[in-house]
Amino acid sequence: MHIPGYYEFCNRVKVVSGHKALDKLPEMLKSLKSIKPMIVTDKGVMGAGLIEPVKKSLGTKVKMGAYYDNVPADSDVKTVKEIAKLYRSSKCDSIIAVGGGSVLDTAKGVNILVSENSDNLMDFTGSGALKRPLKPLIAVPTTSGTGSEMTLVAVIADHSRDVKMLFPSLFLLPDMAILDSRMTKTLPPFLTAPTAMDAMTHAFEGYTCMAKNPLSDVTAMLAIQLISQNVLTAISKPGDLKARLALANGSALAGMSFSNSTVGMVHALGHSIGAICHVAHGTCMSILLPYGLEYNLHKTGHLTAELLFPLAGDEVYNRTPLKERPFKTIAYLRDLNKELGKVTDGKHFTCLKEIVDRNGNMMVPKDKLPEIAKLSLNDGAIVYNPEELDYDDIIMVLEHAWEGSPLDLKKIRKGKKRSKI
Amino acid sequence: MNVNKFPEIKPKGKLIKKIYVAVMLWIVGRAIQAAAKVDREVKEEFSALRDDFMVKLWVAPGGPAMIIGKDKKGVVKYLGWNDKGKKVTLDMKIKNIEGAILVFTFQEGTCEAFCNDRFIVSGDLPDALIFVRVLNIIEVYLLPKIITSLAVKRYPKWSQMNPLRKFGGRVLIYIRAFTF
Amino acid sequence: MHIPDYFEFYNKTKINSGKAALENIPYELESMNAVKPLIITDKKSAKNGTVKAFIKSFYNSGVTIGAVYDEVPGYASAALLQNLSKLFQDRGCDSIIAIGGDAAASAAKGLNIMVSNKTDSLLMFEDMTKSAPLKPFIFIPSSEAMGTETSNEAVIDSRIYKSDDLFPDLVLIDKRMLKWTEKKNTASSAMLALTQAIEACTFSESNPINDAFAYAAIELVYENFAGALKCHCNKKEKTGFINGVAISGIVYSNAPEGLARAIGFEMEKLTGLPAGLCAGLVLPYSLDYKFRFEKTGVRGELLLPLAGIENYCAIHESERAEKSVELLYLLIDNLEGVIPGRIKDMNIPMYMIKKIAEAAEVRGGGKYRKGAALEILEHAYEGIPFKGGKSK
Repeated sequence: MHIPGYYEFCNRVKVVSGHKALDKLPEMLKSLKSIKPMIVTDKGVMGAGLIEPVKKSLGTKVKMGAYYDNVPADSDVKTVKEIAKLYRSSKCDSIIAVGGGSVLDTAKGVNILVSENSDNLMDFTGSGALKRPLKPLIAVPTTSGTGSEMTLVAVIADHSRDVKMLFPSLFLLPDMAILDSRMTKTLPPFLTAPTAMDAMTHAFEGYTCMAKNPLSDVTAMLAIQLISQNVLTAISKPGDLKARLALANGSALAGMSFSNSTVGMVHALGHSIGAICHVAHGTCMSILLPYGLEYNLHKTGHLTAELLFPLAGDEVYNRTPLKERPFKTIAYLRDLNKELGKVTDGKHFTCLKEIVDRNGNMMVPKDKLPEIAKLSLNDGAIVYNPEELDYDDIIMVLEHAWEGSPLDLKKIRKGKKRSKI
Repeated sequence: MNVNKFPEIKPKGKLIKKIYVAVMLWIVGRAIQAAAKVDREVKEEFSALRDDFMVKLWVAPGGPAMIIGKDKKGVVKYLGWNDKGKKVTLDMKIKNIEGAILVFTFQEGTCEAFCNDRFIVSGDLPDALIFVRVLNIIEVYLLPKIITSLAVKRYPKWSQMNPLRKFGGRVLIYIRAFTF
Repeated sequence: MHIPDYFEFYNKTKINSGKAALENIPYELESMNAVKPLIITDKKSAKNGTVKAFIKSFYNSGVTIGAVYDEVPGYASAALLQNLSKLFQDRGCDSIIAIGGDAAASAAKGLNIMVSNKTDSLLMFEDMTKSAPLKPFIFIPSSEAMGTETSNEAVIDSRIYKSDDLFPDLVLIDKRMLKWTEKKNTASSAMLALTQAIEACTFSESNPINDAFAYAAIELVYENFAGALKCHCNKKEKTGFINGVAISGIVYSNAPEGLARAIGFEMEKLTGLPAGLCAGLVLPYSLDYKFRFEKTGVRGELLLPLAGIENYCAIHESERAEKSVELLYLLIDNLEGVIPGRIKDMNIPMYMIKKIAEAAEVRGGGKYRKGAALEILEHAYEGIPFKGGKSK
C-alpha cells in the first residue's frame, strides 16, 4: 500500500444508509440540537415526489422552519443569497438539503452566509477563509454521482462575473449524509448512467492523482467495485433498491475518496466544457475519464492496472497479463460507456462531437476547444494531475476526445518519475 | 500535587531558518519582477491577471513575507514584505516555517506542497494557479536542471524552452534581480 | 459486496501523517480556536526524547504549552484525572494533546469530560448525552500505541466510557514520535490492531465504508509490521504500521466488539498479560471457529487486504476464506521467538481459561454463541487448529 510522504484525511460526515434511512431524520436533528430546520431542494425533486418521504419522516414531531424548492440547475450566488434571507427571516437553526450536486452545493453556500452572518460569499473563497464550525447541515442526495454529501467543497457560480467560485473548507463537510434507496429509485436511466460515471471518475482520479493516501485508496477501490457491479442493474431494473443503495454507497465512498485526495485533469477539462458549452457534468466525466488515464499512463499506469480488479472483477484481472492491465482498464471503461449508450437509447455519449441537446443541436462545436483549453488551465484540479498540462497538451487531449479516438501515447510529452508498467 | 513541577513552556524561535526563507523570498520576489520584463510566458501569465492584483506569499505566524503586485501602469513589481496600506487580493500562507523550508530547499515541489496542504490560500483560485505556474517558470530560470527537475512535474523540453532562451533569460533575470 | 439494509458510520478523527506533521499542530489548534494545550504523556516518552522532539516542533509557532504532565502510569485512574484537571485549570489551558499509548489517551478523554463539564466526577457521563461540547483533543501515537486510543472509548479505573464525542479530533503521526520499543510491544500492538480490524469487517452486518477503513488498517499493519519489527530504523514501515494501528481504532468503534478482542481484554484483567497479545493468539482460532461452525461464516473478501490484489485474484473464490484463516495461523508461527506461540506457553493455568471464557461471555452480554469462547480458548491454549465443520 502506498504511503505518501505526508497526507491528511478527514471525513467527519456521519453516514446513515438504508432502505428507510430517512426515518431517522427526527432523531438526527435532535442529536444536532436543531428544532427548526429549513429544507432546500429543487423543482426536479418536487416533480418526482421525492420530498414526500422527507416530510413524512419529519411528521408532526419536527416543525419545519422554512422551505425553498427553486434551486436552479447551476447553483449561483443570487439563489444562495435569497435562501439565506429566507433562513434568517424564519429563524431556522439547520439546513436539510434534498437534491443533486447543485442543491447540496447551494446549501453549503447558504450555510456559509447564515453562519458567518454575511451577505457576501466572495469573502469566503479559498481554503483558509472559514475559521469556525457552521450550522448543522444534513445532506440527502437524490442522485448517485456528485458525492457532494461527503465532500469539503462547494462550487457556486457568479453569473454576473461569469466565473465559478470554489469554496474548499473542512467546515463545509455536512454533519450528516442520509443515503436512502427510495430517493434515487426514480432517477431515469439517462441520468443514472452519467451520474454513476461521475462517481466512477471521482474514484479513479482519487486513486491516481497526486494527493492519494491509504484511506482515499481503499474507499476509491470499493467505490469502483460497487458502481461497476451495480450500474447496469440500476438502469435495467430501476426499482432494484439493492442496486440503488449500492450505487448511493459507491458514490458516497467515491466522494470521501476524492475529497481527501483531490481530482485531476478529467475534472479540470470537464468543468470547463460544462462552463462553456453547458454540458452536464456527468457526461463530460464519462467521456474524458479514459483520456485522463491514458494521458497519465506513463506516471500512474501501475495504479490504473490495479483498478482493473474492482472495475472488471477478479477473473478478468487474473486473466490479463501485467503489462496489458492498464490498457484493459481503459478499454473496459470505453466499453462500459458504449454499453451505457446502448441501454439508454443513445442518451449516454462516448465522445464530445456526439453530444446533442434536446433539439438535436451539437453542444460542443470544435471551434470552442481553444476556449475550453484556456479555461481549463485556470482550474484548480490541474495542480493535482500527475503530469503537467499546458495549453497545447489540453488541445491535443480535447481533439481526441472530440473525435472519440484514443490518444497517441508517443505524442504525450512525458516528465520524470515513470510508472513501472 | 505540586503544580509547579510541570512548568509552562514558551516556544523559542528558529532564527536561522527564518533568515534563509526571508532571503529566498527576496530573491524569488526580485526574480519575478525581472522575469515579468524578460520572459514572454511570464508576461502573458501576468497580463491575464486583474489590474489590482497583489499577492502576499508568507509564512505563518508572522514569518517572512513577499508581496508582488501590479502598479498603476500594469507593471509587475516586487513590493517588499510589509503589507501595511496595501490591498492584498491573493493571500498565500505557508502553515509553518518547516513547510516553507521544505518548499524553499526544493524537497517538495510547489504542486506537491499544495497536495500536502502546506499552503492556505485565501482569494481567487485561478489567480493562485497562475502564480504557481509563474513560480515554476522562475524555478527553471533560477536553478540548475538537476534541482528544478525534482520540484516540477515536467522539465521543459528543448521545444518549449530552447537553451538560448533559458540561459539568456537566466543571465538577464539574475542581473535584474540583483541590481537596483 | 454486502450492504446491510441499515447502517450508520461515523469518524470524527482527522488524520495527519508524515513529514513535518508535528509542526502543523499550532495551525490545527488555531483552526479549532485553541491557543494553549495541556500535554499528557508517560515517563517513557519523557525519557526517550519523544517529548523533547515534540516541544521543539513548537518553536517559532508562538504557541505556549500550558504544561507537560509526564507521569501517567500504566492505566488511567480517577486520582490521576484530579491532578490533571487541577493542572489544566491552573494554567488556563483550552485543549488537550496526549502523546503515547492507551493510558495517556484514556486519561485525556476522561480529563476532557471533566474540564468541559466543570465537574470532578465522571459518574454522570457514561453515555455522554448530558455532556457539554468537549475541548479540542489531539492524540499523537508513540510506539506504544495499540489502536484503542483512536476509538470512541475511554477506560478509566477499568470502567468503559463510550461515545462518539470521545474520538480524538486529530490523530497526528510523525516518525519523530516513534522511538524504539521492545519487540513484543510492537507485536502486541499489531495483533490488537489486526484483531479489531478483522473482527469488524467479518462481522455479519459490516458496512462498505467501515470495510474500506478496515481493509486499509489490515493492509497497513500486515504489510509493514514485519519491517517495523525487524529494525527500529525502518521508519517508513513503522509509520505505515502506526497508520494502520490508528485506523483500526476507528474501525473498531463502528462495529460491535468481536469475541477475540473481548477474550483478550478479559484475559488482561485476570492475568495481567497485554490484551493485544492475548487477543492476537486467540484471533486465528476464533476466526476459524466462525468459518467452520457459524452460519454467517467468514467473507472471502478478507483475503484482499491480507494477500494483496494479485494473490487474491489468483485464489478461487471458494478458497479465500480458508486461506485468510491460514494466513493468520501462519502469522503467529512466524512470530516465534518474539511472542509465545500458544496461551499454554504463557504460564496460565487451565482453570483460568474457564474463568476467562465466562468473563468474555458476560462482557458480550449474549452477543456471542454460547460455549464458543471456551471452545476457542481451549484450542488456542493447546495450539490445535479446528477440524470439521464446513471445511472440506
